[in-house]
Amino acid sequence: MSARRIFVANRGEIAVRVIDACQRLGIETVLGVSAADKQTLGAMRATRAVTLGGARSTESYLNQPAIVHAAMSTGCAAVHPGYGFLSERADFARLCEENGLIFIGATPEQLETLGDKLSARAFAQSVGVPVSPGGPTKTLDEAKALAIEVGYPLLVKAAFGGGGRGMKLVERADDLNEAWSVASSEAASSFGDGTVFLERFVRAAKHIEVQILGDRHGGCLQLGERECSLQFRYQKILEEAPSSSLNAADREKLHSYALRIANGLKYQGLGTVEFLYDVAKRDIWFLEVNPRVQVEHPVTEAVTGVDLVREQILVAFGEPLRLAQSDIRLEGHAVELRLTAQNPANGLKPSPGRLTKWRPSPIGGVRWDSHMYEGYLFPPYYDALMAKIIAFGQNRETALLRAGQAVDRLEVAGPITNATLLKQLLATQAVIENSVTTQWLEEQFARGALP
Amino acid sequence: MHAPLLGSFYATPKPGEPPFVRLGDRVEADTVVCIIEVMKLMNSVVAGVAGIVIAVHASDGDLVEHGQALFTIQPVEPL
Repeated sequence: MSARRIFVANRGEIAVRVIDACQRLGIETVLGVSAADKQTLGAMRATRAVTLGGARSTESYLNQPAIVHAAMSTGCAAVHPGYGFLSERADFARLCEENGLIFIGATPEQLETLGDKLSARAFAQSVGVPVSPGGPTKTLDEAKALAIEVGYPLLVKAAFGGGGRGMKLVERADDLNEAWSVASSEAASSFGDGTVFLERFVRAAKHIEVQILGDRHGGCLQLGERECSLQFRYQKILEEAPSSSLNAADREKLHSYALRIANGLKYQGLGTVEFLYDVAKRDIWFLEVNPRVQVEHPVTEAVTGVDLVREQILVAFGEPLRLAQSDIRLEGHAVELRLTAQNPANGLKPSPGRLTKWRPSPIGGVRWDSHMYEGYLFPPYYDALMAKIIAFGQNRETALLRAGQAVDRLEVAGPITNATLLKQLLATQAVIENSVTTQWLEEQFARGALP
Repeated sequence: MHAPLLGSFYATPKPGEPPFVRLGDRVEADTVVCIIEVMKLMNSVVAGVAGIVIAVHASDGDLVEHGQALFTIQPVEPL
């Protein structure tokens, strides 16, 4: 492999994770940091750190010319975008390519197909993977007709343009008129296109996703599924592998759907195919593909023994997959908890500040992916993730037990963390028996049952 | 005086030409002291303060980081 040096265009725990993987491969790293991130663990661990720009992400972690310029000037062969920031941006992948840098991720064309909800759904359907009932509508009459097929409750949202912006829940046919009109005019003014997407809203659904990995030579693998149903406003809190909600037939179906998408795209790199699973009806619906390394990738690493970031880097440099599908064997169970600087007593409001105490207790079977250290000033500019606590056990019960011990024995002071909420969750029957669905935690908060 | 952005440092307007400023030169706040190039886009950088250039900390073509020291300028009363 010719890679001597890789530019890491991210921050936080994932920057540390990528730097570690590079070190094990004998590759030097240059980390691009913001002016607020010069004293981070990543900056200390990287071979070299370069200040890209100001604290604001637009001036640093999203500053494409500065990143590419810095990567080229420091002699890097490739750019690792981590997750978030520029990791799914086709224009950035193209800019890297045009300047002779390897973008460690999917191709620009794949990022374009997957980055748009309509084209991603259309692609899934074209390879025979079911999508949730719904579709784009240009007029209110079209919407009324489609709503009868889709059924209520349903979600309306801008067809073009990302995130949950302008998304509305419609419970009854009487409310469709107003919700659709508002969504359409918002979509027109924000995104220049008034097309509105209608989609069935599944109240009691599980979030299950499949890890995929592809090389440049048409080779593709699936590395089993993860379940991430425990979420708060679409922010995952607890993730695990494998899912305990699936029976053997549905698991096989899910894996084959993910492979159909991966093979259909000739997918390159590490990716995650996300699905909604209606446990009662046993319906599986394609949600989207996340074409990048995922926050919760360590639970898959724990049960498969595969270093996913290492494989991701190797395939980006053109290496053929070293593993066959039959080499992927799952063992045990892994759970990941996201420890964040958020105050559960105050609606999970971010609580940055100086970390005066940080002592994770060493426990067998527990991995900490974190960029924390005592004395670190947790900045207010970025996300609230402090650490990922990944616990492994021969079964789910043991994994949960170890995760609980890890949280209990953590000594942390400074920022207020969500540790109390994590402890409560691990003691809650619905979590222990895994009956939670994606809306569950929000409902608990709304009812005052938690925190 | 610190680099306002990351890029390649150039002390001269074009290769072979004399530098924007030399040691001992007097500059005003709006005097262009160097160029920082980012992806072929040339950004003129001004002194930001009136004074005498008493040290230059970067060489032509160097990658300079955001916030990196470029010049030391001894402040004097503006003209």
